[in-house]
Amino acid sequence: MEVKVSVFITGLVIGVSSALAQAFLGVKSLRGYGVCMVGHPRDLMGWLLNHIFGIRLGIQQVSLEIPVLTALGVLIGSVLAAMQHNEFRFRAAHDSLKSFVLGFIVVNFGLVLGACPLRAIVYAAYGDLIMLVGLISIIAGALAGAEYIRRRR
Amino acid sequence: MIHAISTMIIGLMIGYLAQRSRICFIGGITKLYLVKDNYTIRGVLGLFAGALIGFTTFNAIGGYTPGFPLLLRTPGMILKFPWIFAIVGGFGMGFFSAFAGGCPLRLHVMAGEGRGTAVAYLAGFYIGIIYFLIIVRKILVIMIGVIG
Repeated sequence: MEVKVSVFITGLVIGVSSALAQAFLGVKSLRGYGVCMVGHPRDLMGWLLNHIFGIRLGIQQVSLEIPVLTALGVLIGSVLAAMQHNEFRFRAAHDSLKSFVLGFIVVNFGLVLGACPLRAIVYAAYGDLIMLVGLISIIAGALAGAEYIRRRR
Repeated sequence: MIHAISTMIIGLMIGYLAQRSRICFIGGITKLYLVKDNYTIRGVLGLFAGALIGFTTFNAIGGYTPGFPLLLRTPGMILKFPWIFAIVGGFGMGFFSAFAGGCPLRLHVMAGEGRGTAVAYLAGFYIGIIYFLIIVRKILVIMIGVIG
């Protein structure tokens, strides 16, 4: 699989987009919330449940009437990119239950922090010292996880 | 309305670029540590640089950037719970994301490539959101009352 777009450029585009979404494109409720792959899925899911069942789960102000659609966009965008380059293939899961549980746990920790790694970096760049500590914790956690995986091999 | 349209377009763009570049914010760290591969970590540097350039520029031309740069004006700094939530939430997300094989963005993109493992992860992810909103959130509110 050849790589055509560099990760640096991709990171740069995400960073500027996130700032742009907040500064001019109406994603105003939290600072540094222009792009978040934990918060935006939460808003989308919460909005759906609120509208289907007439309940009031806590989502961000910006998403109360119409939700942010980043997660949906990312899914569609990645399907399009994969299809265009003949990389879209259904592949069965190795261990569905393990993946399911990991997704469940990751999103809960992420929502305790209030950010995905991506927003943590963006908000740390905004100058939030608490999120800077959160970002360092993410890095520490990822290193601890990597070390655990290495020893188990 | 504009936020829904803008986030949809930004999401499409990110999804497309992320699939092409295989960017991952957890993979960048674990690959650097495990196999001394310093390619993926450049995404982290790019993101930080992009956000910094973006906020500085848009702040200068009058965009909505309240309090930028926050630093010692960080909201909630004098409280204890934001720090504890940041440390516990961050460490847990980093640790378990290393096992999941990537950050939430990467797993969304892998699901978009048709990988069953990532689809199962997302099923857990979105059901986990419901669990958080109904149960964990209430626990956190109680903890905030206790910790302060």
